[in-house]
Amino acid sequence: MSREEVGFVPGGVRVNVFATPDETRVYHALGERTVLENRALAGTIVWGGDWALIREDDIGHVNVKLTILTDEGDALDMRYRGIFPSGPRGFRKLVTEKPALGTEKTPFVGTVYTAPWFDTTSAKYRWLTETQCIGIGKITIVDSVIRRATFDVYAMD
Amino acid sequence: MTEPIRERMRARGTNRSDQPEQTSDAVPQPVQQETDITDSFESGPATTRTDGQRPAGHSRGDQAVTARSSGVDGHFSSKGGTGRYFFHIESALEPVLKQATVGFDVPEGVRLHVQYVPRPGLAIDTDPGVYKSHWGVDLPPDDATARGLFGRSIDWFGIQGTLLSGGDWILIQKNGVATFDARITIRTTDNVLIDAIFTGIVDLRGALSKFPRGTPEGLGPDVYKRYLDGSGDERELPVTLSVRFEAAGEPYLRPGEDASWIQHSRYARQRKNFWKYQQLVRGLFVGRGVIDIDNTKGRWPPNAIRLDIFEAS
Repeated sequence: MSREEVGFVPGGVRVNVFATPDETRVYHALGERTVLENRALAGTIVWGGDWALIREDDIGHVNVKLTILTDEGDALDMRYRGIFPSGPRGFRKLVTEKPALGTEKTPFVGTVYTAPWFDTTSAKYRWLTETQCIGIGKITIVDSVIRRATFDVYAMD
Repeated sequence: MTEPIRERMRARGTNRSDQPEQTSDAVPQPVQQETDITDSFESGPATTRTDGQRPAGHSRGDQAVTARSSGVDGHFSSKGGTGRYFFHIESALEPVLKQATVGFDVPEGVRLHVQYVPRPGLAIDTDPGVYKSHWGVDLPPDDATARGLFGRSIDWFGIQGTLLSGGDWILIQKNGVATFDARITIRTTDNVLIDAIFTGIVDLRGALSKFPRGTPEGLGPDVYKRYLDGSGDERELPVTLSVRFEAAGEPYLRPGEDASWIQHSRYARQRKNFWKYQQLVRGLFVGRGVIDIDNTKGRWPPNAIRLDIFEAS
């Protein structure tokens, strides 16, 4: 992940985080296709990022826009906003690093709650555009820097 | 027809040696001399074109109102308002997905994601002959320190920097109107990151001489059909967008809160020069220019964008 740290803005800190193109995978974590009746998704994030605001009240506000290319070559547009509690004094730890939020030995893992929606031309994945999804993610922070973000996305049938 | 923008990008220099500079640590001095705006414009450094090409916004005579077209006072005017020229930005545009068909078909129309692609040597500059503001309060250094950072004053010449990254999430609607939702990041020469957010709507009839703006012609599906077919008349689509900026500032402190932690924060560097950019985050700006499109191909693939940014007043 690459990032652009704009710094203090009203209400918190603006940090733009970008997915590493073509290396970020999207896949069906359970590895089976019964839940969604052969509607599982597998692909790669080709471009996108999170224009995040880490608020002074220890809450992160994520604003994500991603473009996914499935393994079959279908393009998907995914967007979501969400909330990321950074824990007690999380904002201060993130910006002052005294103490830093998360260490190599004990990284800080926060939970982020999102509500993604999709756009696509693909007939195969049209069902995604008609489905509200819920995403629950884990953001791993080491030395006050976001290292990794993983999300489980659930289709609300 | 104008030369393709990438050719002009290569031809453009970025010599800023004759621009005034502000150091981040020194307390800026009051204005020493006034600049002859007209002379500076004509002999301006990086932002003045030397290639004889028309600057942004000149593709259609009735809409061509930019700082460089006026050539004197750096203002544009239109019905209901005026704006002061601020800076110029050019970038190549590339669709995020390299596919045969540009964009997604969605129920509303076509959704198109494009990247702003920085080019080496392409700078974002404010022409100091056109834009200059005296910003802040003149105080002796001791008083300035006592009163905090706003006790300084500077001659501010706007942005000097480079485009770092950016993207635009465009929706081409079936009524022939495109909505723009762009976000770019600029790195200034004093190492401050500034986000610029462009939003607005663009009438696709701007690329069709058959359907002049300001008339009720072409309001049906004709424009959208020609967009899908690739049968445009113009290679430049005029755009006018609302622009706002985000730049590092001072964090909010509760009454009586100790501010010492700010000095030691990981964002201390970003806020070092924040006072120079307060005018950015407190104003509304308008971007006027063109998007270079390939009007011979379906869905008019965009190649580049050129915008003159004006400070609304």
